[in-house]
Amino acid sequence: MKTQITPNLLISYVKNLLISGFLLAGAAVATHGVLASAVGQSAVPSKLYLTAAASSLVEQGLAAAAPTGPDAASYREIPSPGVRYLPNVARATNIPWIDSNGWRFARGMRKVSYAKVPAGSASLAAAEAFAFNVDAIINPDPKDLEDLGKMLRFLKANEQAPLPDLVNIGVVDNPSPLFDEVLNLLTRRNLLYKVVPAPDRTLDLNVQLGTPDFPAEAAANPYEFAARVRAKLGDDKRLVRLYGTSTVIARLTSDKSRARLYLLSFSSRRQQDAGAQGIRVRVQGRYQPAKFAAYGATPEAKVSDVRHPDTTTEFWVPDFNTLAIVDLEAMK
Amino acid sequence: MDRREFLSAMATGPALAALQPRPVPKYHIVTNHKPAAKPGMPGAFPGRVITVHSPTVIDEVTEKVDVPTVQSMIARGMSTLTGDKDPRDSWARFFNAQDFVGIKVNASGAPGAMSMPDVVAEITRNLTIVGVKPTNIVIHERGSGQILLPKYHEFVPAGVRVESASTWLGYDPDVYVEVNFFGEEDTRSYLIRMVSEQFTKIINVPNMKDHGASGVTGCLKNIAYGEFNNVARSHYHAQTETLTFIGTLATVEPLRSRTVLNIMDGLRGVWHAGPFSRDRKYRFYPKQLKFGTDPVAIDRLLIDIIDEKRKKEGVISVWNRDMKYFSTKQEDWERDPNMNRSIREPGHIEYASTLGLGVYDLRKIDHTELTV
Repeated sequence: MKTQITPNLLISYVKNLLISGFLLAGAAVATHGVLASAVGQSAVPSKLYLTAAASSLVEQGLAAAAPTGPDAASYREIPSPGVRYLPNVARATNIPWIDSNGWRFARGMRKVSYAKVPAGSASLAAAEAFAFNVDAIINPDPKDLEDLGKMLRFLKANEQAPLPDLVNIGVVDNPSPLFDEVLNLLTRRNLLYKVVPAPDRTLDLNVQLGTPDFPAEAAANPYEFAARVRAKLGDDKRLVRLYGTSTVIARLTSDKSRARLYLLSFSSRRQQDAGAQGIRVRVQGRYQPAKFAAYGATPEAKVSDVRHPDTTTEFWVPDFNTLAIVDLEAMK
Repeated sequence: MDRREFLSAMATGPALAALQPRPVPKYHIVTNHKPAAKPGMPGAFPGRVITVHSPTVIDEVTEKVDVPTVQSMIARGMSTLTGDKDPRDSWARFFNAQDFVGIKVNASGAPGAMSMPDVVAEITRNLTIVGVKPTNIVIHERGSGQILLPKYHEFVPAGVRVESASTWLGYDPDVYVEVNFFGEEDTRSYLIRMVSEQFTKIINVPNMKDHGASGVTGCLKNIAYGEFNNVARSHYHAQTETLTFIGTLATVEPLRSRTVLNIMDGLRGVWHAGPFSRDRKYRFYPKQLKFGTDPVAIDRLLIDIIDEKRKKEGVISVWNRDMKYFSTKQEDWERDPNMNRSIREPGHIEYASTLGLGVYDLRKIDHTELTV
């Protein structure tokens, strides 16, 4: 499905950005020496709706019933999130291919419908919508109801007023059909970006197809294009790095004094098994972890071995299933 | 010879005509440990290797190990290495009652190929003789699955522990090597925390094995890839980064300083399709143990052992880089010893010598061979 983004929507999007979040987040990250900017977001938490297939969960108050009629038409159908394992050309191993909708949300899609959700994927769909703060209708497989119910309880327990996205890459919108795949790869590589109508000098890097740094033909290979973006930015400037996983997507949000990091695991076995050291996280900026919440983690699970090399914060995130949330407080 | 000269020399060598080495990656080593005044590698006896043979140490049919022979081999090997008459004095040169000793075994091919439990048991017995408490001895591997297969706990004194990074302490956030080989996202390899926070000394007990990526796997690879995580990324492609990564990891402190003794288990070995041993037809029986503090010197001799066995079997050398012998299909190189799954890099041993880890030149290796 193609994402459609109109000029008016883009203008509104940029205005929203400038008014709502940019100044706050710019101030927050400037203290860390990072030029980042905030993407305009809804000021209220995402709303999750369930189809009749999950009426029992609606009755429990875990979500609202899905809208019908004209209201439902405003929700764009998107694919179920997940992972596929593709053969590696050089070895007998498979490499994970993440199917995330993060890039669609980055293009401004705020109301979506997970209409076709295969068994085992409903909780990931709910977590994805929650993490990216979009309103979503979920049509779960009946086999998923128990797990989805647990996930919805977890999400409710961790709901808060959304913070602006932190990004430091601007990707200038482009009508090329390859553009979507480029955004998809940037999302999967945790290169935190926003789509902009024109280069934004407040960002660390602007990516514009057709420029010498990013020739249009380079987009023909999204893998190499993402690698090019990464190289141009430099790993040292990346707002989030994840070590120990290739199947987790991060979303970082922040205001002046705090940040919230969402970690979405797309692994087919979304429960990791590395104990207290599931993933090593590096975040630009100096923070103290304030709260850790993770679906599938033990109650005593917490981030550990917090370090502050240079202007960054590093810590281990313990095992979790599907979604982990790390709340961080900026250090004085 | 510095690293660039080394690569230049490698590039002009006739054996490498088919594929040129990649440039040395940009390694960033992070550690909060300083080297010892005399680091364990190459240690007290650079260039010295003692090989003890025994035709009766293992039965080639049953693969049963003769324990008294192992005991004699280790006693002779250690005393010859140090020049002491009494092997207890030899052990006491390296270890005392205050030490907490990690024994880095290799169980990646278990049960077909592994650091033999009988050998490991005799090492632990000698440690306790010189006063090391059994509770201060930890047989370990990085991964938790393979270490259980040899059942070391059934062979060693009570109190000796068998652990992995998954079961004890995990990884040290302050000791890692950062490098981007092929554009991979996870660019760090962390040291297991047992090494940095618990062990005062490490005994390295590798096997004699072929390796599809590094050419052979001996002391250097066992201590490097066995103590750090996220290392397989160096050989996900036909042309690997094992040439420089293995030696680089082995130089990281405190691993380098604390690895004070290498005992290579060559009772049985693997001459093709390593490091695993899924097919017994690729196993062979060198019936020997090698002793030394210098991992490079021991591994240099290992190359010839594996290559001579391969020559005897009529198959290509571990040095062969011709792409006509390359296949991406696992079943090809498992079935046919003339097929490679990667461009092998036995040159990783010479490269490690350029990092100061030991002596590579055969003319400078002081090799003593004994038979018991």
